[in-house]
Amino acid sequence: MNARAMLAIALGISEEEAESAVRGVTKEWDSLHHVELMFLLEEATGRLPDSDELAQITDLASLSNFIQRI
Amino acid sequence: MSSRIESLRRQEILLSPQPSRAAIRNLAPVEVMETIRIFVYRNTPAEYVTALVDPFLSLIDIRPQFSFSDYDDSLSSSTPPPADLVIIWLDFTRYSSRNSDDFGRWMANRVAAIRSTTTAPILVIGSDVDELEREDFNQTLMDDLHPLGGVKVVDPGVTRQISDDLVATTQARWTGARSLELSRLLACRWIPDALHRHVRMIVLDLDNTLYQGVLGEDGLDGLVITDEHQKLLIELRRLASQGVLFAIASKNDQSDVEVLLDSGVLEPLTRSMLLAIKAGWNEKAESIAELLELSRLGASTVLFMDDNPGELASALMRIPGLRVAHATDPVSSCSVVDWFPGVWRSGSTAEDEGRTRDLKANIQRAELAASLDPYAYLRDLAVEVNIDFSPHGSVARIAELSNKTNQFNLAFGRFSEAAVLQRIDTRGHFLAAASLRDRFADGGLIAVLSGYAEEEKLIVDEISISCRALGRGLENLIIASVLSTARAKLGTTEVLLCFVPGPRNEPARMWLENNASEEDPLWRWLDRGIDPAVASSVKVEIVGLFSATHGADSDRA
Repeated sequence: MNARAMLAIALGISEEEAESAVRGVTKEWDSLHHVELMFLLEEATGRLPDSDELAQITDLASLSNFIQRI
Repeated sequence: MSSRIESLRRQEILLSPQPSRAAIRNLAPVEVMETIRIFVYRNTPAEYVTALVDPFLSLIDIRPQFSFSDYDDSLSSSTPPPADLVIIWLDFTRYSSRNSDDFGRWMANRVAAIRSTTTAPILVIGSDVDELEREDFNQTLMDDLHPLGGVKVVDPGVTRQISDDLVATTQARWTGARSLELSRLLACRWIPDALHRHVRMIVLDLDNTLYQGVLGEDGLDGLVITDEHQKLLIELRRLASQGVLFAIASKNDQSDVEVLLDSGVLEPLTRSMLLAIKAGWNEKAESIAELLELSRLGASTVLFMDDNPGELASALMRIPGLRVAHATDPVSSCSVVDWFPGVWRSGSTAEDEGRTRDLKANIQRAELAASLDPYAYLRDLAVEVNIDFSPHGSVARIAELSNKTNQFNLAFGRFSEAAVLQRIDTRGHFLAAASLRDRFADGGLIAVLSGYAEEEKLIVDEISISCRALGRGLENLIIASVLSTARAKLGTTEVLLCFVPGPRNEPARMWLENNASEEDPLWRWLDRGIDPAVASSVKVEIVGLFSATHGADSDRA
């Protein structure tokens, strides 16, 4: 699954909306949905991100970078 | 047809042995028949788990509507909103004294206080921390809370803790995998069980479902039972011991199927486990319709498993409300019976096993009835009816009967266990439970009647009679025996029945039409007494402490 699809599923929005979603700005990207994203990353990568890594994921670009690094 | 195929695809995702959170999250919402309001008392974020309950419960046409208390270690939240189910979900690591007797007493007091605000079933999620203390802790919790009535404690298994910094950052105690597991436990096991929404019967295909091969083509010796098939058969046997009924619907010759079952090839699945075998060349939907008629079960309590999606789609089209599952391979089939909502039970009782025997005995009773006149039939059956006006030991079964009976149900009271206890123990009320046995089987508890005195009137607000008890002409005897006793003991004369028309309670409506009218009210029917020929053919015993002053005062009387 690509990062855009993952972010869309986690936030419950369309992939087009996920392109421009920003944590703390996009209303769907609250703490509950950020944890949902954490769980989807765990399923996709086989491990939970640590708290520093989670803090750095704030938009689609940072999410894509994280997935590529794993 | 395409929507039915889509529902099978959806089911494969939800009931997969290795479910995917992403795939489940990506499922489109579906329209369902019923909304269940669930209130959660909590001191920890339960939303990570409840967020995924909806798609699983959609398999049985239920949408959960969750609301949550504030985060409160003391469980002192104010009265909850109206709810069909109350859940108590606590992070027990927050209680340093959790292994003390004081904590147990405190917990029982708090749950009793919650119980006093609602008659809804209460589900307590037990501790998931540290294997050794968890089992003892959860057992003690069950022992302390069970006497409150309508409270179930479930063991969630062990949660491996995630890192402290992640917990501090997210407030989530679980990994995603564990969170998904808890969602599935909640939706597929604990909630249906607490609400008595059980699958009562599983109808099984044979060829390429219980074994590899086609009986009619490969013969008995050509069938292959793999290790995975064996695990499935063992699981089916286990479910049978918990009271799940089984039947076969197979496109094979009846004689071939009987030889197969008698050969032991399918051990531990045996012929004695089966309510009926419908083998032949009719459409399976027709066979399943016959099984529903024979068992008198509602379609929504029956699960049909087959490797052929066409058979499943055809059955769904013919029998609305039927539950179906695609048995693609034995591993997936095992996962289906493990996880289909309503199959799991928190415990089986002698009552469950008795009901299975009683349903099988219906086949023998039908054969006897065909050969005798009605009174001779009753005498030959040697029927015994026991009516208990203090059925404290049967509260769970009474609640189950009240919630499951659809056909002979006059007012759909749908009593919770707490509501049952309230009616038994409240002054001026009565609740009677009738049990039935004959020479073929002990049918167990098969009828519930409830009501109260209002000046000189006896108001009857519930009559539920199990379908498997109908057809022997005993409804009048049971109803007359209970209402005559209640009327006398509560010092009333007139009898009024509450009737609520429903989509399936035609048998109840017809009974009412045949026995009561404006010109000939029910209490005159009671005055005339029971048909002497019936009364002399059936033994009736009335027990239980009951008097006009029976019961404690109650604010909810």
